[in-house]
This record gives sequence, C-alpha cells and structure tokens, in this order.
Amino acid sequence: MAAEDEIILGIDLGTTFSAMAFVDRHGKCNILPNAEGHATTASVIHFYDREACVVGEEAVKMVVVDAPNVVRFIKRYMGEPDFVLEFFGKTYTPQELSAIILRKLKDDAEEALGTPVNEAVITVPAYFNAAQRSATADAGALAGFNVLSIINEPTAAAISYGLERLGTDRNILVFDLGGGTFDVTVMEIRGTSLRTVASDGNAELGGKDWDDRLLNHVADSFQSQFGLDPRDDPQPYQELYERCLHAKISLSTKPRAVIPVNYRGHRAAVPVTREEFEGITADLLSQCEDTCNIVLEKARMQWSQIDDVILAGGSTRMPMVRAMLQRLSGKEAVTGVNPDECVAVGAGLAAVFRHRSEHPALQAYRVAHATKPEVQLTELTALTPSASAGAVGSPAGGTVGLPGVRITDVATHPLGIVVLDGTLKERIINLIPEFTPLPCDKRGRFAYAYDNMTAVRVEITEGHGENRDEVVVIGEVILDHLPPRPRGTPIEVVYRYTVNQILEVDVTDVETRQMRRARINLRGSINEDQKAHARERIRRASIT
Amino acid sequence: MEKRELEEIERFFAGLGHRTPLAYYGLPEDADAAAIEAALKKRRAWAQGQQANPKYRNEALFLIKSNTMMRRLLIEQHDEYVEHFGEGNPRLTELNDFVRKHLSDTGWNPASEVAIRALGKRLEFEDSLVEARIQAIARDLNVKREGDADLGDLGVIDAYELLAAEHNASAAELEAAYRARYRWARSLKDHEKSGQVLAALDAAWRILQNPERRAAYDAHRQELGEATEEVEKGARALGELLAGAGSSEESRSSAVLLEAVRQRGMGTTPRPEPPALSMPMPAGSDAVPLSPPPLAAEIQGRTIGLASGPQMVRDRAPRLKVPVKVPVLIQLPRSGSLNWSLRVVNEGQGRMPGKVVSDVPWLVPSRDWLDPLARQQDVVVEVLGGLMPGRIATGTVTVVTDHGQRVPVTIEARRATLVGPLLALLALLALGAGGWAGMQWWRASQAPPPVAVLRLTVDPPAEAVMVDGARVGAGASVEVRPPGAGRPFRIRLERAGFRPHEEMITLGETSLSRAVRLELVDKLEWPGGEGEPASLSGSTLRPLVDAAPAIKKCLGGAGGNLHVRVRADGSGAALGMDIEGEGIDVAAARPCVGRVVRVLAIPAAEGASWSQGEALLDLNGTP
Repeated sequence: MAAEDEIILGIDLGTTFSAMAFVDRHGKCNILPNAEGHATTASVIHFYDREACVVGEEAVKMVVVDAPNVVRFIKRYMGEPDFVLEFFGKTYTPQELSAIILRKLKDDAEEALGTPVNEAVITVPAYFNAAQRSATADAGALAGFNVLSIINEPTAAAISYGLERLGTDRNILVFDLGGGTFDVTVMEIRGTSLRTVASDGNAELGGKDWDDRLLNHVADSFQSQFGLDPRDDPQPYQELYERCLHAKISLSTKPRAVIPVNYRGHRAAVPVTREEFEGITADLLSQCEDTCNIVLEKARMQWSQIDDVILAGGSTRMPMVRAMLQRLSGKEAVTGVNPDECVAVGAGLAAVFRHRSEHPALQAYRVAHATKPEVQLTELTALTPSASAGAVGSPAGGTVGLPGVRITDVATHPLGIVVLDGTLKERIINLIPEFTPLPCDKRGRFAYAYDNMTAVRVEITEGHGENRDEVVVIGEVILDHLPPRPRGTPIEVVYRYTVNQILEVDVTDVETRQMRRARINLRGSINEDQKAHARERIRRASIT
Repeated sequence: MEKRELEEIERFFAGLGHRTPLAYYGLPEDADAAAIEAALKKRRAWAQGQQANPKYRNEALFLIKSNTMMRRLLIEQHDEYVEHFGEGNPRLTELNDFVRKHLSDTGWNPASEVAIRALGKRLEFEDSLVEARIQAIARDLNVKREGDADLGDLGVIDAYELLAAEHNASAAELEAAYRARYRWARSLKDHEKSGQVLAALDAAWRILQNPERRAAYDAHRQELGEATEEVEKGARALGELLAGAGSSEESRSSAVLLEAVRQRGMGTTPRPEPPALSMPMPAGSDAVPLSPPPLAAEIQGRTIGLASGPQMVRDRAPRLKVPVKVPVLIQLPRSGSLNWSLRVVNEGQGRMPGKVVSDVPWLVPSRDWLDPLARQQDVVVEVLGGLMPGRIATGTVTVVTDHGQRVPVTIEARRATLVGPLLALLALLALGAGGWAGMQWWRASQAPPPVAVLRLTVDPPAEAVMVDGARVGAGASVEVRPPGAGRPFRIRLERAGFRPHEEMITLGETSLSRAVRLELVDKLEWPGGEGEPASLSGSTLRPLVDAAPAIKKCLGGAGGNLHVRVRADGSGAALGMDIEGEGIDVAAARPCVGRVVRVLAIPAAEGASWSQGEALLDLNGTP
C-alpha cells in the first residue's frame, strides 16, 4: 500500500493533446507541465530510429518531413486488434504507442517532482466501449503505471468544475469536444455527491473532422484551379493539414483566414471566411446538437432544467459550438474552467477522492470542519467560482483542504448476454442496463436450452439491440464439464461492474455449484507474457 | 485462408478498380516473393503516412489492418491466391482439370502424382502449388492417397507419440525424431509391417512438419485431453508398443499399432460448436423455464452450438430411457416364477455403460451390467415368487448409467391365489352364456385393486429416501409404496448437511400425502477439508444479510445482533452453521436463520475442498 501522500497522476490521454495533474498536500490540483514547459503535450510520436522516438511538439514538426514514421490520432484506433503500425522493422499496437506517450508524461512528471510516480488515473471518453477502456488501461500498465482506475472524461471535467459548487443542487451538462472524440454528459450535483445521469457521444467525432473538412475544401478549390490534388502526396498533404489546422484555430477568433497551398510548382492562397467554414461543417455541428438532445431525452430533462453548461476539449473554442449551446440552453457556457486542462485536473481530484481517503488535504478539511459539520454546506455555497477562479479547493473563503466528494459514475453501455428464447432463436438480454450507477452487481438466472448439454457458453455483449448483429460481443465465459442434464437446468450468471470499469462475470451451475469467473476489461486483451514483453520494450525504448 | 477474408480482400481491391491485389501493387501476376515483399513494405509505409488523410483514410486503414493477412495471402499461401484470383487463368484451369480427371479415374497413387507433377512443371507451377491442388481436389472428391494409413481425420491419434517426440519439441527436434523413426521403420525385416509403420509415420509427419497444421492439430489434441478411457488406453498401448519396438523387439506385431491407431480414430465425427446458453428464467425464482417447443429429432439428445467460438465441446452424451410405465404390475402364477424383460434404450449418443440393480431379493436381473454399445437392449429380470415376503410385494429395479442418469422401475408382483383360476372358470362360463356383462366383470376383477401409497414432499430434495433401510428413491417428491397394506414401515429421508428425518408409518387402504421439511444440522461438524478453507466473500453471503428482516419477523420482532458462520463443502452445499448472538435468543434464532442458510447458494471456491464465511446480521435497524 502506497503512502497516503504519494502522488497519483491524473492523466488526460487525448487524441491530439495529453495533460497531467496532481493534488498537492493543500488540496490544490495542479497541472504538471511537461519537460518543455507546456501545460499540454501533443499526443504525437516520431520514430527517428529503431526503438527511439520523440513525443510532443518536436514530433509534430517532423510530420511534414517524415510522415510514415509519425504517429498521430492513435486514440482513435485504441481497442482495434488488427491495427498495427511498423517503424524501423518493429511493430507497435495502439496500446504500445499510447504507452510511449504515457511514458513520456511519467518521465516528465518524475523529473519535475523529483520522486518516482507510479500510480495514475487515466481518463477515457464516456462513450469508449469495453475494448477501448481495456486498451487504455493496458497502455497505462505498459508505461509502468499502476492504473488505479479509468474514469470518464466528462465526469472528470465535472469534478474540476463542480468542486466549487458543492452544496448546491445543480444539473450540469458537460459538452466535451476534443481532438478526436465527442461526449455529452448530464450530471447532477446534490450536496457533496456528483452523479452521472446520462451520457452519449461519438468516439470518432472531433476537431480532426473539422480540420478535414477545411482541408478538403481547400484541396478541392486548388484542384479546380490547377487540376492537381495536394492530398495525393504525403508530404504536401501534411503541410496543408498543418496549415488548415492553424487556420481553423485562427478562425475561432478572426473572421477570415488565408491558407497558402504550394504543390508541384503551383501556388495558391485560398481564403476562407468563418461563415464559409461554418457552412462546410454545419452537418458536424448538427450531429453534436442531436447528441445533446438525445442525452437530455435519456436524462428525462429539458434544456431549462440545465443550470450550467461546461465546455471541455479544445474544439469547444470554436464560436459555432458556443453559439449552438447558447441557442439550445439559453445561457452562456461556463468560462471559468480551462477546456484543455479541466479533464486532467478532474482526474487528479478524482484519484484522491477515490483512492486516498486519508490524503492530507482531505484530513485538513475534516479537521477544519470537525467542530462545525452543519456549517459545511453553507460555507461551500458561499464559495462562488469568482472567489477561487479556477484554483479549486484553495484555502479561500475559510476552506482548508478538500471536502470528501462522492462520485457516482455509470455504465455507459448496456451489457447483456446472448440467450435463446422459447423458439430457440438468439436474442440479447441486457443484464446491466445503460446508466446503471457503478458499482453494480446484477444476476440473471438462465437454463439449459437443450437436453444433455455438457457446457454452456455465456457471451457477453455490449450495446443496444435485440440480436447479435446490433451488439458487440466483448467476451465469453465457457462453463464446461457439466454433467448432462435435461433442458431447463438452471445456470446463474452474475455481472459485476466495478467503479474501476472492470467487468467480472461469474457463471455458476446452480445444482453442482461449479463456477467459472472471467474478467473482461482491464486484463482482457493481451496475455501476461505479451504484456511483460511489451512493458520491457516500452521501458527500454528511448523516448525524448 | 477463410473465404470471408478472401472475399473481403477481393471486394476492397475491386472497389479501387483493381481486379487482383497484385495489380493494385503494380506487380505482374507471376511476381516473385521478394518483389511482393518489397511492394507490400513500400505501400505500407505510404499507408502509415496517409492514414489521417481524409482522401485515403479508408484505403490506408485497410492496408494497415490487413497487412498480415495480405502478406499471408500473397507470399505464404500463394497457391490460395492463385486459386482465388486466378479464375480464368488457363494454365490453372488446365492443371485443375487434369488433377480432377486423374484422381477420379486412377485414384491418388504415386503414378498419378508423378503425372500431375510433370504437368505442373510443364505449366511452370511451383511444386507447393501443385501439391496443394492435389490435396484440395482429393478432399473435394473424397479420394484417399493409396498406402496412407487411415488415421481418421488424424484427430485423436497422437502423432507425437508416433514419432516418440515431446509435444513441445522444436521443428528441428521433430525432424530428428521423424528421421530416427523412419530409419528404424525402414530397417524392419518384415516388409509388410515396415510399410504400415512408414505409412503411419508419413501421415503424422505431414501434419507436424507444417507449422499451421501442427498448430491446428495441437489445438485439437488439447481439446481431446479428456478423451474417453479407451483412447487413453490406446495411447498407452501405442506408447508401450513403440517403446518395445524401438528396442528392436520385432516380435510384437505392428498390426496392433495400427489397430490401436484405428480404434482411436473411430468416432471422430466433426464436432458441433459449443452449445448456447439457454433460455431465461424468471429472475429470482426457481420456476420452470419457458418450455421450448419440441425439438427436431436430429438435435435432441446432443449439444447444439452457435456458429462462433473457438472452443469445442464433447457432444456424445448418452441418454437413458426405460420405456415402461411404472409401477409395473406382474401377475405371477400361484407358485413359481416368471421372466420379465426390461427394455433399456440409449436415446443419446455414444457409449452408455451402466448397471442394473435390484433392491429386493426376489427380483433378480439376469445380468447387472448394461451393454455400453447397444442402442437398445433387454435385461431379463427374474421374478421369484417363492422369495416374495407376501402375496403382494413391491420392489425396485434401478437402471443406473455411469453418466449419472438413473431410472428406477417399481415392480409390484402379485402371486395368484386359488381364487384366480376359479374366477377364470367362472368367467368362461359367463362368456359361454354369451353374457357380455360377464366379460366386463372379468376385466374388472383382473384390474389391480387400488394400492395405498405414501406421497412425500421433501424440502429441500432428499438425497435418499429409505424404506426399512432400503433406498427407494430421491428427490423433492417421492412416492413410496408400503411393503404391505396395514404393515408399519420406517421411512428415513437423508440429505448431507441436514438432520435425517425418520418416521414410522402405517398405511391403511387410503393413500397419504406428507410434507417433510429437513432441518439443517445445528452444530457444525467441521468438515475435514484438506488445507485451509476458502473464505466466502461478503457478496456470497449477501442474501443472508438481506434476509435480516425476514429473520427478525420470524423471531417476532426481537432486535439484536447475530453472528452467523457458515461452512460449505467443495460442491457448495451448505454443511452447517454456527450462531452467536448479542441480546438475542440464539436457540430461537437457529431455525429461523437455518431456513435462510439452507437455501443459500454458495459458489464452490476453486481449489479448496471446503469454504467458510461469516456474516453479521443487525436486527436492530430493520423494521
């Protein structure tokens, strides 16, 4: 057991940028800058030699020169078993590549803090499925972290925001549009408890898609002018992409941007106005709008019941996103939180609430309030965001340390089981419905479908749907060597979903008490041997 | 490669406007492996650079994700590539036709192989491709290579033992083992024997030399880890034989070897996929599941699986059926015996070893074992009237299979009295008089008079129901036939972990229904587990804690704290419990808690023969 004040890093492992934060002894959660001094680190890797690579801004620069050896947007491929990249004759899975980014963060943190940092809480988009969560946890383990838990990004964002508003009853909507993923989550703050009510999103929608629209627009206009397509060659494409990315960013603050294109001796400067940009990306925005409405519907709420809209993720800086949210909710989005950092800060705080019940900051708070527990809520209510301006839990307004906060996360995907119905047709029964608060423990009783079965197979499914084609089978448990018995022999299946987002499945033969247990998630995807080998590789790799 | 994969590849390249993958890579169809390798590598690097490019994203992602698959198709299994994408290739068509014709006309023998190879050479095909074509077409035509030992599907024979090699031997070690074996087999003086052994070796070596086939074989072998006893025996025999033969003791017959091999090859029918779970039952109840419609005959009695899943499951489960209506009424002649035959049917699949036992001395099965191979057999039971305790007696002949199925057949025998023949005479007279009513009366007199029975309902189901010390059945509801009307008898109901229930009962003319509740043994006789008990987790005992309100109610609303310790054996059956209480009448609480513990489902702890757990029940807080 680690000492109570040993640091747990809260890590926001993003599609385009990653950030880390930790809670100090006084309860303040600080963003930890990387070795280059930036608050965020670009999630980009450039391999310049066998097992030698650069992570961060330097790697971004190399994309124009050496695109085949640069890894970008790896988060989009997390959990895909076939996706393997090769650099200098070595192959890498998305887990290993993410682990390299995490190793860089770990090294920088250890350098800055002067102590080994072994424990971490890593965030994932709420809409990540089991395979993607599992891959993220694997990546953390490969980087040498003891991953204490995986938490949802909107939950983390809400914590960093809601800590100042504890004691009030508020409904908040977290709109998280990052570089590659999109999430909308409705949360409830009731006293000192934070509860996720509903969540939805798209793991493949993010700022990258806005960039691509702009890129296509520019490339098309160049092509109509010269008949050449700069997307056809890797290098000009990468140059153009970088320019479009920067143009997109400047369009957030300026009405017009010019994108220079230089390809095969032809030059063009394509001007884009903000209106044009908003026109070519209108459908992406309406996707976001639909998702928001769906989530509210799932939460059984109206826009008028939402007290605050919180923005997370860099893409929410686009004026069109803010305008849309204002139109929908009728109020300005909260500006007190930094969309790039709030997820990492929330992860750092959640790590302490969940895994360090004796943390000095929590102790200090308890001591300060031991004599007047009744006053706790009113005092906190008085703590307005302006009073502490982003410095969460700082000793302003008479508060010392951190209050204990109860965070209730939910299962974001329904988890079910493949069964045969009365006509022996396959169908899916959901054992854990969507938005079941974690941890949960659900059991279902099933039976032999045929006489004399000697084994039963429990297939664990994820997703909505009545039949196999609509869901994903994320694992299976086989209970075999059963004595042959008539159909109708009962079999009990228990799904146990922990706060750390691990699913345990027990399959028990009710009569003989034979049981098989399986763990889906954190330790599901690759076996221990491969993992040890990969961990060694990541440890050896020269990462700068 | 799977058809699905090939189709996926074809669709993808067709979508890009290329008829074959090699055309996409800008290579001629007969490009050599090095050129293909270089092209794959180059295109892959391009894909890595372009994977984020919206214009080429799908193409790049496909190339990245299918890289291994493409490499396998284009280089390692080039013959499959030619086969799939070479349609319309006249050279291949010619080869195929030639092979098909030769194999169906002359069979697959060395001569036909030579002819086919010669054509292959002329058409400039690689040897491996020609070999693959021969094998594929032979499979299609179901032609076996002459001289090959019939190793079935080589599913059950242990090819490793044949080569006297370790299962984890490296390729080089295997080859050395094969060569040593081969030399030995060649040196045998008996040419016929030598040929047989060589053929078997050859077949084994064909599997083990190819890494893919070896892997598939290994996977298959593991599944058969718990094959039937015969197979194990066969394996040992084979091992011994080979060990003996290896020391040049040639007196042993190699025919035995091949016989063993054949026996083990028997019954290697393709296995169906693992069975599906199942129909949902109403949650939280032990009710009968939704009953499915009658199953089609061909799927009854075996396990059925779904289409996916890597694991295989044994499907050959026998199913016992004794098509007889119980109780069997047997009318014996006044003195003497008769033979009554009991039909035993195996409705399932596979062997059904078992036995036939009788619980009374006057019912004697002519044999006490079941013929394991018979689908249907008759067991003659001798009914010895002279040994019957009275004029009317009841006994049970039970058929038990080694798979644990049992069917008890209750036989009620009546010895005829003098009245019988008299009645018959009377009836004949009546019949002679043309009295139809007489016939009716005759029938009625032949029908057995109603016999009083004792119907027991036992909660939980008894593991044994004994009448006067003889086991007559088991289960939740048992019908007991008294040894004789008006005669007292003792019933005893048993279940491990529960106090046995004993009672003297005398039945008159009418039947009796009786519900018996077995009580849990109070004090634990700590079951002698080996090693440490596994500890039962809190969640396992959760139902017990949740039952606190019910227990409180049972105690008439008394408050207090109860410490309940529960022990279970390896099978998960509760063996007993121990209660300590604070501010509570422990003696009164015991039956209340016992009722809950009795139905507690305790998962068997893996690796421990017994387990133990403790729960604290707070009865103060509950309403």
